[in-house]
Parts: sequence; structure tokens; C-alpha cells
Amino acid sequence: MKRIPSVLIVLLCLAGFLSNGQTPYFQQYHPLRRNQPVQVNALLQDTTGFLWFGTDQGLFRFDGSSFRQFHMRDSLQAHQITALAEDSLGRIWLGHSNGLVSRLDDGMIVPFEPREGSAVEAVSDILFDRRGVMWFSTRNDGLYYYLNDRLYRVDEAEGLPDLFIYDLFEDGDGNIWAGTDRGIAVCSLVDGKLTVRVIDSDDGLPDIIVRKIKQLGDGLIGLATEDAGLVSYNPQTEEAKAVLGSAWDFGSINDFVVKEQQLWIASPRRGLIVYDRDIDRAKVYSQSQGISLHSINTLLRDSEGNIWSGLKTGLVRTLGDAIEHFDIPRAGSDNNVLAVAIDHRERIWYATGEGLFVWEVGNRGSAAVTRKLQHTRFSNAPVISLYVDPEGYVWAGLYGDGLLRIHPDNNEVIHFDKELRNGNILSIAGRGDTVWVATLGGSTCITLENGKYRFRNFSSADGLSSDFIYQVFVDSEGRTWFATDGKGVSMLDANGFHHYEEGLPSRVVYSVVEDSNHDIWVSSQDHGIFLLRDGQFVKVPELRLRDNTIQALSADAHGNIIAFHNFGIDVYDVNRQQMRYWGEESGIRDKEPNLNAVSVDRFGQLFAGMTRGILKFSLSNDRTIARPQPAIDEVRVYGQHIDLEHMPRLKYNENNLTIHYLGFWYHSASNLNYLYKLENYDLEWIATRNREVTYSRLPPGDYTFKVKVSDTDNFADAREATITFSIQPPFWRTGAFYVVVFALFVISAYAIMKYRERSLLRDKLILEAKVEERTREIQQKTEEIQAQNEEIMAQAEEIQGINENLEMLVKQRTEELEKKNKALEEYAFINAHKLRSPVASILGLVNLLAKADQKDDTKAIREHLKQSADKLDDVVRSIQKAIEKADNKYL
Amino acid sequence: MMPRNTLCSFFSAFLLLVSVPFALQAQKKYAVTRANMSFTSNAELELITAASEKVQGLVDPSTNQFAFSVDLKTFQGFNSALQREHFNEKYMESDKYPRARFSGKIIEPVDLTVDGTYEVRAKGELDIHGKKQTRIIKSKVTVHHGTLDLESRFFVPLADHNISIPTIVSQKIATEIEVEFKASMSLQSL
Repeated sequence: MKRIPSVLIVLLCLAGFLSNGQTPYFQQYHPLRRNQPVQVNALLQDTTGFLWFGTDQGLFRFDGSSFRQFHMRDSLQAHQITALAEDSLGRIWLGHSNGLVSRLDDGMIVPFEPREGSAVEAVSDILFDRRGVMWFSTRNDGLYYYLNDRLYRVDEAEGLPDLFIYDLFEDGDGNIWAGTDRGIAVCSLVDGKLTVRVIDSDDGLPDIIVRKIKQLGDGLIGLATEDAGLVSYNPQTEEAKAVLGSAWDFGSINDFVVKEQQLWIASPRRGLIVYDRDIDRAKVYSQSQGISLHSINTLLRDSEGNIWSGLKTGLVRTLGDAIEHFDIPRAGSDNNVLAVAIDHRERIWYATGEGLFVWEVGNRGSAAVTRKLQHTRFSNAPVISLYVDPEGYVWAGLYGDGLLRIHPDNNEVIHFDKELRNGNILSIAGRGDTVWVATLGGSTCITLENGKYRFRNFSSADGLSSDFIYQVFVDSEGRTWFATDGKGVSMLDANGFHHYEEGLPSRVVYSVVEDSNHDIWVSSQDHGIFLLRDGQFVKVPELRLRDNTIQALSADAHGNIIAFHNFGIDVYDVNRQQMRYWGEESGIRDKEPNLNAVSVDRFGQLFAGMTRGILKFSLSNDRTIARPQPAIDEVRVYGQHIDLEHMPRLKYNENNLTIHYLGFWYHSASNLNYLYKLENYDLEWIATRNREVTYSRLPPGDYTFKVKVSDTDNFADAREATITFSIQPPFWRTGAFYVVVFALFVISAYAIMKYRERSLLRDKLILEAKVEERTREIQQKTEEIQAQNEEIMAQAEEIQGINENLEMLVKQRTEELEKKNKALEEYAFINAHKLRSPVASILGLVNLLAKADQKDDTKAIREHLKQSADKLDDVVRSIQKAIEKADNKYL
Repeated sequence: MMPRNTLCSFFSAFLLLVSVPFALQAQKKYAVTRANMSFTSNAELELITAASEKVQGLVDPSTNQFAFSVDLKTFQGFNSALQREHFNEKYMESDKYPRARFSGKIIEPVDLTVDGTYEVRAKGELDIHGKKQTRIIKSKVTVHHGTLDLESRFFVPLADHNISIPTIVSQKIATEIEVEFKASMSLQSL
């Protein structure tokens, strides 16, 4: 291959013009209404992750999706916020344009009013040193510090070189550096005694106006000066050195931040300067999407690596320059870029429907675009593929008209057409002296032999699986891979062609790449990316694409597989098995990558031809691997804010909790997914996109609320925020209460027992007494009874005596009576037998008289005598009867 | 280290003590004898220039403090009388804010009583259109036998001073106005 003449030949700059069309995406934010400008003077990210903006319209807090404005007391109303700081307790402090310092307290901005009064000029910076001493600097009123409840002022008397202080900085030894108009005052406060040392031109400072002081890394301190640019100062050797190698011509510096190897510098005259320390290059972004970047007051690099710019009229954020958008500069021109290649002078060759162009970036960020192939017969030929060979020649594949080899400087063009099997060049690749082209009629290998190009054509007849080849790729072992339309992948090595298609759902393969481990990856139509392993295509589960329609595929030297699709760029780190995504948040919107229109420069930066312009992707410019950071913002109990961190114990009736959580992911705040779980309550993690959850009627217990956040639906590496609290049981369900109740029970049982015991004892005693009494009584009775018995016995004896006596008496009487009865019987016998016979003879004589005639007087005397004799008979008879009766009775 | 209020009162007493004899000794200040201030608006469609010689100013070599002011209505030039009228009435509102001022101190510790040429940076408040901005302006100062020649060029962004340009004329008026200032001053007792 011919060497390019070393003498630079004057370019054919027929259509050259300057442009600033190469910028990363700057997202604009509007704390107030969209058209209401806000002057942002101070930026701060607190330890939780919130961003704070000190503005001319007050203080704002931002979480990525919404702004919260904090209102000030009347005394502060009219004064802008010019400085912000966070103390060790996480409180936000504000400095104002009238010299006042205030603090955010419970959502209100309240003035800090030390007894000594306040400063009289605008506060330029506030700093809490490692011991907790508050320092604040003013614009023309010196330096102040607050120690042991007293405010002290540092001025010329203490050796301060100037009262106008721009910035404060604490070095590794705890000294406070103040950047002034007359050098740096290094203040050290030891045992309440302040000493000031001045660093100025006598110490080698190239400029004494020091506007910003920040850590540069490697023990160096960066000084932003008025006229000498950015100076790095080594506090050990006390050496000052300009950071940018060349003479500084960007004017004064308002602020700067360090983002890995880059320094982002705000220059009022030029805009935002990005200086790469690794490659010693600076570029300037003066405006983006119509936003002027000249008026940056302050810069902040947040924990995700975003660069925030506080402007005089608003606020912008950029994720960095990993992605830069090249807008095709000419209005109305076709900006659909079909092919891109980077030549050896880092110029970007690109082809649109209008022709072939070269974009040349100047040192200062400006760009000149030159049209190529003008005044040749190919001026209107559609270029659809580009390749730069190791010699520096640019190869341009035409659509139907073959292949051009263009000298990058003198524009000499060689045309190949007849040598090729087909003139539709879809892709060009190469290695060393070999150039491969993929066409719609097979592939052609072009080699330079003895100063002449030799062509070898391959078609399906030679072993290619298809004649329609989207891409040709030469791997590190010199094997040539062909991505075919419908027939998988063909590979040509020393042994000939090999075919691979097993495992591919679609046999249409767009692109083949090789990773740093020498593995082959392909993109298949609508089915994403496959790894070729042991002759088969396999899906890698960790490789999760947001879109399977991959338009362009690339791999870098660090093991990344980079896929371009319509939603942005997906990068898979083969070694870490991690995905990273870039999309709309980086400004990739309304533009889609064109098929295989991607090219890599020598720094590993990718350039992709898009339907609108060119997109530059530089992974090395985005080394910050950030993940969304979850935080628990607020916990409310029945709608009332409570500070759970300091009071994690809730009462039993404070069991209706609303937990507000969020994820900090400033570059794509709306795309967050959350998983949360209340340990001891929820059984599983719960997926949501909400930023709050309410738990009602939580039973008493210990709880830990955990929330994870991810910008994808994969939570494997997601960070977690937790908050622990407990709901106390009501007093009647506490252990203590149980103990008390038990104790009471025991005590009362004991008391009852005791009482019973005592009463029993008492009863026993009473009973005993009674028993004794009774016993006594009984004894008494017994005795009585005994006495009675004895008496009775005595009586019985007596009775017996009496009876005996009676019997004797009865015997006596009976004997007497028997004697009387004998007498009576004798009497009766006499009566019956001796008395009755005379009476019966009288009665016979009376009856004989009655028969003799008797005179009347003698008759009456006989009658009377008969009557009297009858009466005497009756009496004798009755006596007889009575005696007979008695005989019968007693006999 | 003393608390601030004690310190302040102490300091003012000290200043009073030292400043009286100092003021008596070094009363001489540089005052403008001849000056020219011109400005240029180099817009896409129109170039406008105007100048004034009615500049007043003092530089105190003992403190290196300075003050300059210019009567805006005395600017002459412009491309038309109407333009001048617009300058005074619409943009600068010269009736309301008749003068533009710049006062402050010289940052570099130069001795302006000693002959020589000095590149200095003047820092102060630039007051235009009633809006003050802290500015650092580079100047070249030549001191020769009690005279001081001053040359300076700087830019004034209109937005800094709340001067708004209607969109319709935005291509005729630059957003940054270039100002060139030259003055001869002599040491005078005041």
C-alpha cells in the first residue's frame, strides 16, 4: 500500500464552515415555572442525596422529579442565597447576599443570630471543618468563624491579605484556605488561636486572584484563578503549576469540578470547558439546545457523576460527555448518517444521502465540515459504508457503484467496480493489508500485493452460506466472519468455510463482533445478541437488552459488548456480567441508529450514524458506575410527620404508617422501579413504581422497612434503604403488665390463702373453744347424768326397797284378807244354813193360818206377819246371794 | 483572637488614630484631565460606536482606590440621531440612571507615585442602568512625573445590567458591548 505523502496537502475545503454542534445532552430544569428564570448561585448535594439550589428566588430541594421550595422569614425575603453548606448533623445552612447566615430548621429558614452580629457583605461560602467549626467568607467583609458560641472575624489585623473572599476549602491538615483577591490565606486554628499564612505571587502563584479552591486528587489542590486559568498546587512541595499544558486563554474561571480524569471548568467567556487529564485535551461547550453555557455561576458533580451547572438564568445537568451528539450543521440538510469512519487525524468521515463529508474538530471545540468527492463523478454517489485502513486510506462503499479508495488528504480517488462480484457494498472491514467487502453478491477480499490490489471473490458457490452479506468482520486470529441474510454466520479460515446457525431463532444476522476474551458475538434480527460457544449460538441470561432489534454492535478492549438500538445504547460487561444503559436521559431521542453504521477511533470512542446526526459514545469518559440510591424520605403516622430515626418506638395506637421513599437517580428519575418489604409483616418483596406505602393497623412488634431501587427490573445489585421501628404493645399486653398481673395474682392468692388460713385458725380456735366448752358441758352433763344415775340407782334401790316392802305388805294384807275371807265364809254358811230354816218354818205356819176362818182383825194381823216374813226371806236370800257371789269371786 | 464586636470597635478607634495624620500627609490624588470613553456594539447586522469625553474620575495612590463616572447623555456618535435617542431612552434610561460608574480598588500592590508602566486589575462595582456588578477590569497604567495615563478595554454584557434588547433588533445590537477607555490624570491636591 502506498504511503501517504508526509507533506500535508492543502485541503479542498470547498464547503468548510465552523460549528459548535458537538455536545453532550444538557437537561434543563425549571424550579419555578417553565419561562421563569432563576439565578442559581449555590449548589449542594446533601448526604442523603437531595440536591439543594440556592437562588435569587430562595431555596429549593430537588429529588430528581420534584422541587420543593423553602420559604424564608420576612427578614430574609429580599436577600438572595449565595452559599450553601451541610453540617455534620445534616442541617442545611445558607449564606445570603446581605451577609446573613441562616439555617433550615423544620422546613423553615431561620436566621442565625450570634450575639456578635452578622457580616455586612454577601456570604460567598460556608464551610464546616472536621471539628465542626463553622467558617464563612464574605465578599469584602473578611472571614468569620463560629467557635464555642462566639463569632470571630478574621481580617487584615490577623494577616488576611484581602477582605474579598471567593471560596473556602479545608485541606488534609484541617487548615482553612480562603481564596481572595490577593492570594490564598491559609488559616489554622489551634487551641482557639488563629494564624494566617498567605500564598501569593511570592510563592509562585501565577495569579493572586483565586476564585475557587478544590481537591484535584493525588494530594494536589486545584486553584481557579482570574487570569492564569486552573493551577494545581502541591502543598508538600509548595509548587504551583498550570493544569492545562498550553497557555490559558479561556478567561476567568467561576468554578470547576473533577470528574475522574476530567476537569469541568466554567468560564464566563467561553462556556463549559472539559479538560481530559489523561489525553491532555480540552473541548468547549458554549451552548446546548439553545442554552448558553457562558453564565455558569456554580458547578456540582453529584454522586452519580452528573455535572450540574447553576446558571444566571437556570439550571442544567449533563451526565458527562460519554455521549455527545453531533448535529449535522447545515440547516435543511439531510442529517441521516448512513456510515461513519474515523481517520488517522481523528476526523469524522460520514455519509448522508447528500454525499460524503468530513467533520474536523478544532482544539477549542469548534468544528469544520468539508464535503468530499466534489467535482468527481462520485459527488452524488450514495456512500453506505466506510472503512479506514491501517495506512490511513478511506474506503467508501457505494450503493450499486462499487468501492472507492480515497486519499484522506489529497482526495485522490481510486474506483473499483468491475473487480467486485457485486457493487452494493454493505460493509467494509480489514486487517493489515487485507480489505474485505460485504456485498449483496457475496464477499470480496482485496489484498495489496507488490503495490497492486488483488481481488478474490467469494460467493455461495465458493462455500458462503448466502450471497447476501450484511457485514464482514475479521477477528484477532485472522478469521473472516460473514453475517448473512437468512443463512446464519459463515466463517472462513485456513481450512475453508464453516457455518454456524444452530441456536439462532432468526437466521438473519446483522453483525459479528469479537470481545476481549476472543469470543464471537452476533446480533440476530429482532432477537438480540448471541454468543457463539462450541459451534452453537447461545443466549447469555445476564445480557438483558432493552430492545432486541439491534442496529449496530461493537465490542471494546475492556470486555464490553456495545449494542445500539432505537432506545439507546445497551452495554454488557462480559467479565462483570453487568448491564449499563444509556437512553433518553442522555438525549438519545428522536434518533435511531442506522444499520451497522458504527465506527471506533483509536481511543475506543464509538461513532454511530443515526437518523439524525452522529452520536459519539465513549465509555472511558463514563467510569462512574452508579446505581440508583434509595432513601426513606419521611414517615407519617396518621398524616403527621414523625422522626423515626430518633424515636423508633411507636405507641400501640400509632400503627397507621405511611412511608415515603424515593430513589436518587437524577439522570433518569422517572424510570425507577422499587421493591419494598416490611420485615415481620410482608411475606414477599412487593414491586411498585409508587413512592409511598401505607400500613394500617399494624400489630405491635418490631419492624424493618426495606426498599430497593433499580432503573431496570433487575434488582440483583440494587441498593437498599432501611428503617427500623417498633410498635409497642398496649400496656395490658406488655410483659411487665403480665408480670404485675401475675404478681398481683400470686399476692392475692397468697393473701387469700393467708386470710383463709388465719380465719381457719381463728375458726379452729373458736371451734376448739367450743369443743372444749361442749366437752366441758358434756362432761358436766355426764357428771350430772352420772349423778342422776346414781340418784336413779339410789331411787331404784329405794324403789326396790319399797317394792320389797310393798310385797311384804301385800303378803301381810293378803294374809289378813284371807283371814277375813274365812270369817266371811263362816258367816255366809251360818247365814244360809241356820238363819234360813227358821225363816222357812215361820213362812209355812203363816200359809196354814191363811187357810183357818179367822175374824177380820185376826186376818189383817196374819197378812202383816206374812209380808214381814217375806221381807226377811228376801234379806236372807240377798245375803246368801252376796256371799255366794263373794265365794265365787274369792274362791 | 477577639470577638467581632470588640474587635470592630477597637479597629475603628485604631483607624481613626492613624488615618488623621495620614490623610494630612497624602491628600494628593490623580484626577482626570482628559478622557475618552467609547463603546462598540458589533452585531451581526450593524456596527454601532459612540464616545464621550465627559468622564470624571479619581485615583488615590495612597490607597489604590479609584472612582470613575460618565454622563451617558454626552455620548456622541451612533449611526443616527434616532439611534442615540433610543440609546438614552430605551436602553440606558438616562433620565433615570444618568451616569455609569465604576469604583473600587486596584488589586495589584503597585505604587502609583513611582514612575513606570503597570498592568493592573481594577476590581470594583460597575454600576450601569442602576444594576451593580462586581467586575475585574484590566488596565494599563503609565505614571510619569505626576501624570497618570490609563488605558482599558472591557466588555459589558447587557444582560448583566438588566438591559433587554427587543428580539426585533437583536441582530443589530450585540449582547456584549465593548468599551474602550483612555484617560490622562494628574496629581492634584483636593
